[in-house]
Amino acid sequence: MRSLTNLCAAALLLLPLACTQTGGEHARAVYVLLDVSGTYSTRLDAANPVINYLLGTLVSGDSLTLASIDSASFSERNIISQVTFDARPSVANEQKRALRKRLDAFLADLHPSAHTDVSGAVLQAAQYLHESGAGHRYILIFSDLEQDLPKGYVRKAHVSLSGTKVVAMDVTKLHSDNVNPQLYLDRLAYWKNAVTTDGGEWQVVNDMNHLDRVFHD
Amino acid sequence: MSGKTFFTLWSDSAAVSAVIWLLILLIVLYVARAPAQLLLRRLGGLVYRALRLAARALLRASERVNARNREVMLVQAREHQVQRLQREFERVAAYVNRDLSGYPALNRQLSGMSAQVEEDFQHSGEVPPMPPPWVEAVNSIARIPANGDPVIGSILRNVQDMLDKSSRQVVEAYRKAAGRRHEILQRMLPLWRGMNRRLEGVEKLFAGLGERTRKIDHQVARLEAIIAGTDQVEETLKSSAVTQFFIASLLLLITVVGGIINFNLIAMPMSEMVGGASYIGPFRAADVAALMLVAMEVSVGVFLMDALRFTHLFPAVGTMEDKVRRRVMLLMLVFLTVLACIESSLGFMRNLLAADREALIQQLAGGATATSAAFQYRWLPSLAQMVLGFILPFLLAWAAIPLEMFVHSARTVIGLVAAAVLRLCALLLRLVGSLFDSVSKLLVVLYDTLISPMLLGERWLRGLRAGHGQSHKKTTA
Repeated sequence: MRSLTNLCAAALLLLPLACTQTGGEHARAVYVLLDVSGTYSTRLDAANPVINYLLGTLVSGDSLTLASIDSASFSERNIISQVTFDARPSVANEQKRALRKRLDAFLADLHPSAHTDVSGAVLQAAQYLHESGAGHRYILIFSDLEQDLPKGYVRKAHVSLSGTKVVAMDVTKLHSDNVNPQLYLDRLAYWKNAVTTDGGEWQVVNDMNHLDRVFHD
Repeated sequence: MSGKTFFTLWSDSAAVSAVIWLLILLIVLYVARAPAQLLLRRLGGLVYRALRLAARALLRASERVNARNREVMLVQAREHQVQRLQREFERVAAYVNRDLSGYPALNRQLSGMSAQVEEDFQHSGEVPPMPPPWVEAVNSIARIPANGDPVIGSILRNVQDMLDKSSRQVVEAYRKAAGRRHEILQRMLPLWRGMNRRLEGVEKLFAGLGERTRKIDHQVARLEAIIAGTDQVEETLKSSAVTQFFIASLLLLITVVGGIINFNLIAMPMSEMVGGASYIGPFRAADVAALMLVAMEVSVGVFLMDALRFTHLFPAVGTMEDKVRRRVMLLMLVFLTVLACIESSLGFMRNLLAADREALIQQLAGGATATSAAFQYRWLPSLAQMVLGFILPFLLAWAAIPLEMFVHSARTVIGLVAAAVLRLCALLLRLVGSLFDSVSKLLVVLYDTLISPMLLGERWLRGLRAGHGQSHKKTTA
């Protein structure tokens, strides 16, 4: 009887530990895709304030991945930096500094690509986010969303984007869009359809002042 | 059949139909008058009696609550008074142990002094040696005239010299004896003063004891009044409980605000200890840990106050053997100090983390490291947070006193409120019951008013019949 009581007491003491959850449904995972193709690479400065905002708001347990969109983006090679912030805030701050340094180095040594593989990058991002197990998943795309695959590349595969919010940031208008705005609207509609078909949520944010809405909705 | 068709059943003219329907209604109402009015009266009476019964039950419940409340209040007051008396007796015991334990020694000292004074007194009373009795006779001989006889003259001079010498010796002896007596009396002076001082001390001691005794008498009289349970005592206790309840609530509110400040002070740096990414259910583990730390401080404070016998929330602590209780008290004090040190370090860490975060944000914004006066004096808020972190646990420990006050007075206040609510409900039920009774009577009158043409007709017919009967009697007579 006494051992049973002790067992119950131990179980009660261990209950909070058993209920303790690290990351998981409370954590946020953000995957930022930076288009380094010729048509967008000059506009990448627009990503800086957003990444700074993310580094300022993401906390311990959250994760942030920076990756590039180039001619063939479905590859780990495209990942610039990937970090899950440490449980200790002081260590997390150091990780943020290191990540910022790596991004600065990447931007300083940027080589524009000839083609743009947006689908491959989104597939890669979806896979990574799915594996992270985070409760709140975001893909931020800094691109003009003009897909231009090299010859022979096929991007018909589908990965579930369920529970993921895909946000197209600062979608620039091409010269052809200026000639015919319908092309721009069709492009946005195509990506919206592609994302929602795979179970994701689609959003376009061109004004960076509205960034809060993306993460607070 | 639609409603309109039914309405115009008797005639195509709506007015005629309405009149016919009204007549039918009046006839029906007239025919059903007696049972309908009986039903209305009975229903009114039934609801009235039911509500009165319910009101009476509520009043009885209120009385029971009042009686129970009174009982609890008196028991609490009695316990409290007994504790106060016990404390008063403990004070007297401490007083007696401290001051009267030296009484035998004091008695011995006083006896010794008294014996010494008596002895000295006896010594001081010793009479110096008187001149021998023959001196008078020799003096008389020495005064005899020599009558010119040189031999007799020489003898008489020798006698005179011898007499003078003897007198001088006596005077000298007397002076010495007087000097000795003065010395003895001089020696007695500090003894008298010492005795006087000690006796004054004893007097003060007994005066203090008398004061305590009067206090005990007062407390005993109050306890007797509580045991007697007079109405005056009850009213005093009620008023005291309500006052205590409000004071304790206010103090507890202040403590809760203090607890929230304390929580905010340590929640952020706590993530450095338990991790900022862990969750317990929907709550951050760091927040839960901070809350637990504050709760632990309050708990330790409660035990400390109980061990100090300032509060009596846990009888097991208060009734411990003094030695064990003192150990528990020391242990709790050590715990509280350790918790205060932890909080103090967390307060320091909070400032470090805030500075680090600020630097990171500035770095991300592309700004240089700030060197303003605010950053130079950064140690000042850091120090303030450390001091606050150290002091707050000790302040929270005092929450036990208002907590005990609140617990004890809340029982009485809740009882008083419950009794008042029950009485109010009973009053409302009685009012509603009376309303139903009046409404039923009003409906009966209204019923008669509605069918008044029929009643008038009935009265007219009766009058006619009565008139006809009388004329018939007259004719037959």
